[in-house]
Amino acid sequence: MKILELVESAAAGVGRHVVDLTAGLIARGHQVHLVYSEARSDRTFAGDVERLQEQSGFHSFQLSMRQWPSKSDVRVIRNLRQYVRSDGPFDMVHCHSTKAGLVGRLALLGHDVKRLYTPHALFTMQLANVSITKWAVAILEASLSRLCDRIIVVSREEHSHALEIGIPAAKLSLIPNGICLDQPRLSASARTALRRKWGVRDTEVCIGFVGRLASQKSPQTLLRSVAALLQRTAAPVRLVMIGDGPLESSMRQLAAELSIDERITWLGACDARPLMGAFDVFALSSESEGHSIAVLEAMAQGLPVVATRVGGISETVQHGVNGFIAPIRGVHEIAAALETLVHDPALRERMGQASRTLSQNFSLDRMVDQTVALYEQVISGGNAAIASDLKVPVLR
Amino acid sequence: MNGYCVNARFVTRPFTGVQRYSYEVSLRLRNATFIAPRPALKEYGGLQDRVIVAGGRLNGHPWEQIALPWAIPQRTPLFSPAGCGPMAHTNQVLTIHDLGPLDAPESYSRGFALWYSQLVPALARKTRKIVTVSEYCRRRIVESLRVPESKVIVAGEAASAFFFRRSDAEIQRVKERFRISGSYFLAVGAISPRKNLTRLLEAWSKVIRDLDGASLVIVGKEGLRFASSSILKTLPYGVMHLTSVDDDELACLYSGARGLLYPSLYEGFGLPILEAMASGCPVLTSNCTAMPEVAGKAAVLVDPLSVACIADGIRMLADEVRARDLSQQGYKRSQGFSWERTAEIVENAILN
Repeated sequence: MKILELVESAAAGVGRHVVDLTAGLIARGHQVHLVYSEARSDRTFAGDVERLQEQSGFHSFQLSMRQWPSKSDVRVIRNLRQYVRSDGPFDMVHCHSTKAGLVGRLALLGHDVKRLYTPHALFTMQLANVSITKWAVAILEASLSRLCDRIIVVSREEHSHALEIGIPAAKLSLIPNGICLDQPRLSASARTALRRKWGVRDTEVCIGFVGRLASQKSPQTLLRSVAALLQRTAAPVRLVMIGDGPLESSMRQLAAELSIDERITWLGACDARPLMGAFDVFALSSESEGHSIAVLEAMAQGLPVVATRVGGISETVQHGVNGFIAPIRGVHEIAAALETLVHDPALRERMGQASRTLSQNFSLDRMVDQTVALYEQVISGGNAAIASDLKVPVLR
Repeated sequence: MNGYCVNARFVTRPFTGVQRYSYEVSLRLRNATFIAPRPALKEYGGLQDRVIVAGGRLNGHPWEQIALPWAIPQRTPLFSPAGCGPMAHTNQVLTIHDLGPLDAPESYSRGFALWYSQLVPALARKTRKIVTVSEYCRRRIVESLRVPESKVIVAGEAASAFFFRRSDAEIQRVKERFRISGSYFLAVGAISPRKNLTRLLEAWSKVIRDLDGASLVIVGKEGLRFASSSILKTLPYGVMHLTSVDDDELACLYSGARGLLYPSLYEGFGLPILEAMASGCPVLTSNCTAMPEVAGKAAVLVDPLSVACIADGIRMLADEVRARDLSQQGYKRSQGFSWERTAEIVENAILN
């Protein structure tokens, strides 16, 4: 297949996803043209693109776009049409994130080419309850959904949100993100060194939190749960908090008020991937998530997970198999789950193994395979015929 | 089989007090099946993948009265948390939040008050059990809806988890965002006559000179079409009105305030009292309806009909020693209420 991947905000999560997908497609012998905007790409992305250049079957094209709609979009659309005409014909044009979805779909009006759009968390999901912007964008998204063959959502939550803003169900496909699971396992000595640095005693169980300290992640719920746990039993636990954010100072104050500050190590914002291996339990107390990459990475590291029931979680964490799911704001349930895990090393081991096995479902290969399958379905033209969605395999 | 259904029509409606209650309780109901006319809105995180959409194209009250009773087996217990439920389902536990439309109809549109006064008494008699939020409401329900006392159960509300004492740095950021300088008192609630804003402002103008430059921050959306919303057009100097404040900002505003001024005329519960207390904010509230029951001894109680009394109350709150004492007592009081407890009582009512 000859595919055009179009992306505007090529930094962080979306950039990573596009590069992973592109590499996977090339490895499967497809031709990929990556059209991206250098204005919002970061150094990691640039480096990745350079590495991809060495592969045959890869072409890249820079097309500067603004984040918000602007006059320059007329030029963008003209250039894009030109590119599709000169380098085409393409079997598939795949747009990533809101802006590329907008210009990509508008630019290809009248072109006979299949179009896919992945919003990577629909823009309206971030907006306040009933703002005018929300409804304007919702109406825009719903009407633009006619201009593409399929929309890929990354979690059930996004799926139901898409339905809610009026995108027809037949247009939606659910393909959870995949992550690179090749993070090396920590050596025993590195693990001990890290734990010593964090002040984790040999007898202590280390509970790890990774995420922005913002209300969406509800870190106060986790602090309260740990406090509740310590109130019930004198559990030997240490909480390691990775991340910063607007709630940081309030969280430190709350920890002091709950008198658990001596049990917490604050690491601030840093790359958590090489550190997660030193945790014993991974905890997530969010009130909303798209599809939490941190949980997947923790699972790949073989950690049991205690998480609240937010988007994507029920697809990754299986209650009682590789961790526990608690209701949102469920301080007592989280505390109870942590207590069970803290006191039972064998259970941690077993659930950790299950985590590692389950995390394979979220490998990049699985994501690329499902995407390719969807490409093929769409190209073969069976639109209404594909009622059964691509399902994530689950371990029973 | 101990499954039961929840009438989750509330998940299609924007957040207000009733939705907050329904959401916090629902999150903690483990064996429930949630049935709604449409998928849950984004703000109901944690319920989205538990909600089953059923009942065809109907929405709103027609869905509740017609489609919902069709969708669930007659014997299955149904919990309706949002103050209204289907007449046709008798094995039902209904939460009645207050009898405002009967007791203080002037705060509601005439149509709503009329419709409510017809539906709710009939519904109350039909349902198996009624859950309400305070002893005051329980008394009122028994008296005016003529239902047996044994049928009405009290399960109080609680402050949500994001109400806790915020750090000075965070408070400062929020104050800057809203351009609040210096110390301030807070008044919250939709702008409607029952919140008694007119008398509060009158009392405020009397005490303003004794408060060394404190301002009054009113947080709340404007009510439907109320006479009192005109008072917001000519706010006195030092009084500001904020309409769009999110949960975190509100928690910060509580944490940073010298006191919450809440001399409401009628409350079925008065949740802002607990929210302020959980944020360490001293509280002034009324001595009538459910408010004294919620505030206990941890707040300054005033007669909401007397401007002089409200003014005296504000002066009391302005006293720093007194305020610190109230803040501590209030915090302790707020910790005695929890949504877990509420959900437990509700679940017992549904299953027994």
